[in-house]
Amino acid sequence: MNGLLCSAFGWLDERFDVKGLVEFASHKRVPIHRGSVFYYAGGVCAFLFLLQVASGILLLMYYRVGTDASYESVRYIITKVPFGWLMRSVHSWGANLMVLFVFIHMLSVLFMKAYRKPRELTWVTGCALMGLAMAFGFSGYLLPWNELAYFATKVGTDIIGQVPLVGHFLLKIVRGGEEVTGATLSRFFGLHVAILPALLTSLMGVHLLFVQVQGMADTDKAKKTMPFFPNFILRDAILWLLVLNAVCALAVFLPWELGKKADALASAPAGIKPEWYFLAQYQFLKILPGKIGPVSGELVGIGVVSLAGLLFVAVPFWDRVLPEERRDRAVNLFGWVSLAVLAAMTVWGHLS
Amino acid sequence: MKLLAALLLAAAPAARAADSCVSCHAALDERNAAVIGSFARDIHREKGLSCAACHGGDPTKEDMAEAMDPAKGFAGKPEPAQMSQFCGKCHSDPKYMRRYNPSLPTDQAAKYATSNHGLRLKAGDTDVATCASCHPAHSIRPPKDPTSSVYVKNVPDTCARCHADSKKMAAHKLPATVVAEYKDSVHGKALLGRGDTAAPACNTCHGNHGAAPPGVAGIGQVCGMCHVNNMEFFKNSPMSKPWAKAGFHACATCHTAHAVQKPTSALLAGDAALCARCHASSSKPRAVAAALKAELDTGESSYRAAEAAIAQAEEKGMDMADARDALDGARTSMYQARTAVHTFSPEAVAKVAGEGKAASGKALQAAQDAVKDFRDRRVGLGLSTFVIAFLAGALYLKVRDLESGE
Amino acid sequence: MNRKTFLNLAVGAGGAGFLASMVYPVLRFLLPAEQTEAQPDVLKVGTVKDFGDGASKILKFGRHPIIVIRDAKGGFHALSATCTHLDCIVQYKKDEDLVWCACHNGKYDLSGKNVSGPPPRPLDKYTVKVQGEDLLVLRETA
Repeated sequence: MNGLLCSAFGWLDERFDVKGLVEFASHKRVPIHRGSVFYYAGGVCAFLFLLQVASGILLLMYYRVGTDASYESVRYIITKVPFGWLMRSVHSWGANLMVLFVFIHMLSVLFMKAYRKPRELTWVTGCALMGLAMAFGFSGYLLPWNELAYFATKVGTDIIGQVPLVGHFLLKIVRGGEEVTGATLSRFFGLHVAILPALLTSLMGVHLLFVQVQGMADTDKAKKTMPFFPNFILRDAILWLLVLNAVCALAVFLPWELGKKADALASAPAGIKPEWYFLAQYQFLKILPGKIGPVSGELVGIGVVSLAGLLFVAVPFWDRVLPEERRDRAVNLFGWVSLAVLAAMTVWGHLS
Repeated sequence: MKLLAALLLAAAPAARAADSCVSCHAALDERNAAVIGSFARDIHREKGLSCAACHGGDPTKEDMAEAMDPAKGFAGKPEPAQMSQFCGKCHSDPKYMRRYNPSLPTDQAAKYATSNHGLRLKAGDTDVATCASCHPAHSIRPPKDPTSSVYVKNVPDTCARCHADSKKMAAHKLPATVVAEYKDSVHGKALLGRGDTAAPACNTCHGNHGAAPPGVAGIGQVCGMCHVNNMEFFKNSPMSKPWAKAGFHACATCHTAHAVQKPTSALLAGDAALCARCHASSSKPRAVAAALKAELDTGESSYRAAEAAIAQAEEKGMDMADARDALDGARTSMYQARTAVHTFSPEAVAKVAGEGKAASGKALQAAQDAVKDFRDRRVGLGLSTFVIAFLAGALYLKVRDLESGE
Repeated sequence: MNRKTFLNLAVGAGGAGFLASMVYPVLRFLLPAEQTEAQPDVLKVGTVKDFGDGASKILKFGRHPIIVIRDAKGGFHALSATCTHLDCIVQYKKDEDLVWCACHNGKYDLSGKNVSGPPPRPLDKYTVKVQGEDLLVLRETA
């Protein structure tokens, strides 16, 4: 057995210089310090993404897109297909946990200042990955074609229409028409299962390549390190197992509901809210007055949210122009204020 | 009030401002004013008829003697015996009625003459219902109007004005309990409780203007207007001929006429068994009745069992849509089985009840499967948690082992 | 057996168990279920040939029983088959060209309107489409 593995390795090595890769990997080390635990967040994101890909592909075996079939097929999956309830709930819960861990990963990188030179591009690609994850969530939410998703999508896409000049044009592209209809469903399906996976996979490849080439950021100047292979990756694996178990437990004890089928003519049920990761922005837009000076409140809101996002993405570029002694404190302040505002808005949005 | 009523009437079609009936009677006393007031909403007034159209006379004359001159056709208040001719002046004249409502029948007076009310009146009894007893003079509304005294939901109370009056009924040797019985019956509860306007009111079985009990021969037919299969089954059953011979009411003998309750299998056998009234306890018919009851009871209990199991599964959050469908099928079958009792053939009942039991069984199975599935999910989660914990523990020890070597 | 071999064995066994507990649900998921397809909003009720003049059929549309009728003139109708009075299943009466409920003699015309007897409401209508030889029933949309 060992002999067979060795000769296979030799065969591959002759062609692809696998030894070189192994050599490179064996030198990779992970610093050990009090913030080390946050090094695992990125790995969990990657694992959850793989879980989403796997459960998503399985769901695709039965899911059918269309206003006459989407709801029925999801209902069929969760009632008739063995373990269909599990796959669907794992996919829904996995999506939410993935977004949550992307937030944790991102904030830990921000507070540890791991985005600083030479890792500016890793940060930027990370931000883009977060945007893609949220787009995944938004597009996937509509696919069961149930009442909540229908109205949440209606409200969510309405915001796009508020963008000056090109808003209406964008709205029509996103919705595939003036209203949220079967055309929107088709578009979101295409986005969710073809475009976004391709984009996210390639961008994640780039992101991981950057990490591998540059190694883990050691902002604490740690004295101790551990090898990435196998120590760190085994610890990663333990955490992944626990996360998987947690997702399954959520699926069993809190199965994701399907609700009623979307009906364009029905009046919107009370308490329509977007998913929690859009709630802060949603609540912010909601509390703005109809008019601020000569422009509409929503437009101001969109501007402020976009500006905040841009400020976030550009952290590595603006923090270097600050005086060195105040740089860390300024970024910490920025991080805590952002976090506090997001949390407050989310809680407010949840309660109202 | 008087003034208002007068104004109301006067204001209707402006041309009829000079109606001396209105102007005098509104000013006469409270009672007269009330009559004038209620007439404003009377269907006849709405169609443009004035007091004189029924009472005759000349409303253009200010002088009372002139206005109420019998030579000018003034009729005043009709006596009960004259009532049907009084209304029939118009309502029995197809040519006249065509002007106002071409589809309205014109045989009310003729039918009234055949009714028990009409017959007694002819025999000299004036304490009977006439037109105005049910269609209150001066505030008559068409039967489709929910405020009308003859709107389907108001009919029982309208009849009750006399038929629940024990003094009045005693004089005619009639029971005064029929309306109360009806209100407590399935039909009364459906009409008055549930508001199902398709449920029968008094007139559905007794007729309106020709009101009379349907009689022994008619009662099966009358019930059969709605309960088609029950009537058909009974007519073709071995019970039908002996009953006709014995002079029994086809349906009312078991179900009563007015106090019809939702039938249960207890009518067939046991202490409350109706069959026992005629059939001896060890006779063959009693055995048949017991067999019928057994079919209904087992069908009913399997339905209840499935229903309870489904409720239990739904409480656990399982989707029971298919089981509910099967249960709906079972309900229809049990409904048909109860109808089939009127064949008095245990085989016929067993056939439909069997379908119901099969459907209930299917629903029960689905519910039990769902509950089992619910438990299996937890067991499965427990198992995989155990496996994952074991693997995670082994990996942890492995890492510790690796790191201790360094 | 030394510590290292034991740990390797434990990790191997745990890994195998873990794989099995992952593969089992996936395989069960992929094996076709009893009902192999989701029931969409369109139902093929047969071909035009299946319906002679005056023929009718009771079918399940999703979760609800429907009655598909071909009237004497050859027109197709699809209505909910559940009587609006007390939920009995209705039938087509060819001689009277109407939908009839045997429980309480309720009658509906072929557009579903309750015309006599106790039914309080009309029957829900469905749309029938003839596509080539196939007969499709669709949920009526406003």
